[in-house]
Amino acid sequence: MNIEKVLDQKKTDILNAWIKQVLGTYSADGARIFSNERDRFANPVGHNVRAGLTEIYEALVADQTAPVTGEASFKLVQVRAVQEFSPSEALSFIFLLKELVRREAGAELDHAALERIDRAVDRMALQLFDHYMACRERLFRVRLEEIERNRFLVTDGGCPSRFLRNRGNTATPAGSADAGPDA
Amino acid sequence: MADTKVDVMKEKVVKEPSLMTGAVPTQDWMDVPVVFKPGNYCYPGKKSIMEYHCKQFPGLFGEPREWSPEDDDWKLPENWQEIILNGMRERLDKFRSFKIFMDCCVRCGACADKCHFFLGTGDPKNMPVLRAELMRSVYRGEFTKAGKLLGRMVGAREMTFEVLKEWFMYYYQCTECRRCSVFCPYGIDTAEITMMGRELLHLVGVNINWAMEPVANSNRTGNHMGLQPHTFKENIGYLCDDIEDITGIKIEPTFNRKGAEVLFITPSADVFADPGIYTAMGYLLLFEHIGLDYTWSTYASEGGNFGLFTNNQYMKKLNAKMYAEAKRLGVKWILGGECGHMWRVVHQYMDTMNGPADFLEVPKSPVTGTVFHNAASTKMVHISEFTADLIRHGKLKLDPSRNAHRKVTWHDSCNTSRGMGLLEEPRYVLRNVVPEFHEMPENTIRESTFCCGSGTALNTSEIMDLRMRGGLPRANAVRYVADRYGVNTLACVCAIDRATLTALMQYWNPDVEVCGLSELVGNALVMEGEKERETGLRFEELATGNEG
Repeated sequence: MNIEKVLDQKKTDILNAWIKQVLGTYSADGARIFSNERDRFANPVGHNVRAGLTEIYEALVADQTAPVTGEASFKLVQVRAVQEFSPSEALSFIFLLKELVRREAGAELDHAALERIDRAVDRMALQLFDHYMACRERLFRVRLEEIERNRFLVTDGGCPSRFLRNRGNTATPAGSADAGPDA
Repeated sequence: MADTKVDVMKEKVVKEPSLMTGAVPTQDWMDVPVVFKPGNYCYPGKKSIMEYHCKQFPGLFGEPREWSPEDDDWKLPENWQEIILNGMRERLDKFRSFKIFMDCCVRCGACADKCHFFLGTGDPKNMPVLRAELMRSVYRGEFTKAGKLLGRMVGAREMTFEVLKEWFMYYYQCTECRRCSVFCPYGIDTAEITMMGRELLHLVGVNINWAMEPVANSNRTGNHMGLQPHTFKENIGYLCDDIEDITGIKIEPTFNRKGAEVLFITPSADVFADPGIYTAMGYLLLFEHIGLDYTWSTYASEGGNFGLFTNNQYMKKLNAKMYAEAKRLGVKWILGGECGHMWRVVHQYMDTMNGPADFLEVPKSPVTGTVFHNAASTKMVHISEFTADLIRHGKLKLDPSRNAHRKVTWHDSCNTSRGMGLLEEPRYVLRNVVPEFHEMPENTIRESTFCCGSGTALNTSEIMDLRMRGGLPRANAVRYVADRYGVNTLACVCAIDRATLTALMQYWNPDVEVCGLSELVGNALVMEGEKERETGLRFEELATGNEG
């Protein structure tokens, strides 16, 4: 049996079940709204989950030996990398695919085909792990760069009047150019 | 074959109870406790800072102390519940809007999916209706007969430590952007509920440093960064040096000059922080271009007003400083720079707090003669209104091709768009100074604009993950125009936006830069006697073939 053909035939069933399970990792209210709202701008989490999982599934159908090349799977990981998931929680969705393929298409695929799919999913998992780490590292770089940009904000500067008091009554007014360094 | 169940995942991947293993809270929201952990809360106010505030406003800021939200003991005053309830009673009497908002929600759900924090997290307590319910439940339980009698049956509860923790968590996961209020059939303003929540938390000494330190600095030295007058002046001097390098034009602005026609006030971030400084260079070029009789002030050296995110007393005091300085200098009116919440305060609260500013004149453009009747009471004109009027009257010589290296989209800042209706003026300016401008999707702009995710003093780096979640809806819309049109610049008129959107873009859309509108104006302005421009105001290369 041709793997590609079977996976393509089962695409709607597997993908819908997969999307439902992944959206189920959010709160009941979150899952409900993220599932029902179809406007991609009013529902960025739902949109990114849908688009990311679709891209991964289509990559699996097309070639079980090639990496996922699109942007959508990266976006999906990028979203989950900043939500309140542990790393394993953020990425464990990929392994659901193995179970879903068995459930929906197990009868039509032989052992070798299932093994081939499992290996593809494992490889994709590692790829998603790379994405996840890239996102976390990017996040820390963003944080670091912001601190550098905001270094002026991190101040414990004293008030000008105290500065003047400390210099005694002979000090120049605070607005003048020679009022001295920041207190 | 059996369904894939979460227990399968539990065994194979995640050992501990977790969201993926079925630990999504299924109980009633009142029974889900708040858990503080690094990354989901802002650091509390420093003790020294809080000691300062307690001297300024005794009784409004609790007891200065070292504490952590992660601790079991927040070292609250013994009678903290009484303080909170008395504070609530006082505010219910004083602010009619607060009383109405506590009473009138029908839980229609129109707001539920409108909050950027909810859209980024899926956390039900980030639904505006539930965020308000955190306080409404206490209002019912403590102030209504039905609530006292029937308790939880009518959604009422007592003020407990768990409730206090919830308030601290979720009133600091609201940026007071007011997107939800646009969709509420009753016009309930969740921002004002959050403001009340924060005021009440302050009474028992529960606060965040990123709000309290800028407020202390503003109160003491005049601006968020605590910069002293000479430093403020020097930095504008450095910007003038850069302008001279880029354009060959030497600008010598004045400071604290009595008798100037106009006082110019902008957020201090425009003077000191990247990328705000390029916006400030734009202002300097614009005023030089039209020969405006204006002055900067080293006293009113901050447009921003973190008092708005703290309590009404500080908001009033910091706002008053701008008007006191206008009076002292004897100017005719005030021109305001690209700030967000400064305008919210001026437009919505100034008039009843410190106004009307009768000692000033109704603003009239000295170049075009236009009278800004919209500012008849506050006497303060937005730089975009002012610039749009100049362009409309053909008073600016502009070469938009100098911005040809930028494909721009426009972010409506919450405070200027929803807070004061400034929608068309910046777009008009933009269309005249850049060759290419693309709008984001309709449900993410204008009145429906998505917040940057880090307003109301949440622009602190310890909650970077949370900020990225909250900013996801905004970034998602930017991604769309970046992919579709090759947009590489996100322009706006808010200093907090310029800072926070920069971080947001670096995470979600690293190919998009953030800039202020006046920076683009400054790039496009053809100054008399200028040299050929080889770079933009941030010394970036111009598009190939551009003659400047």
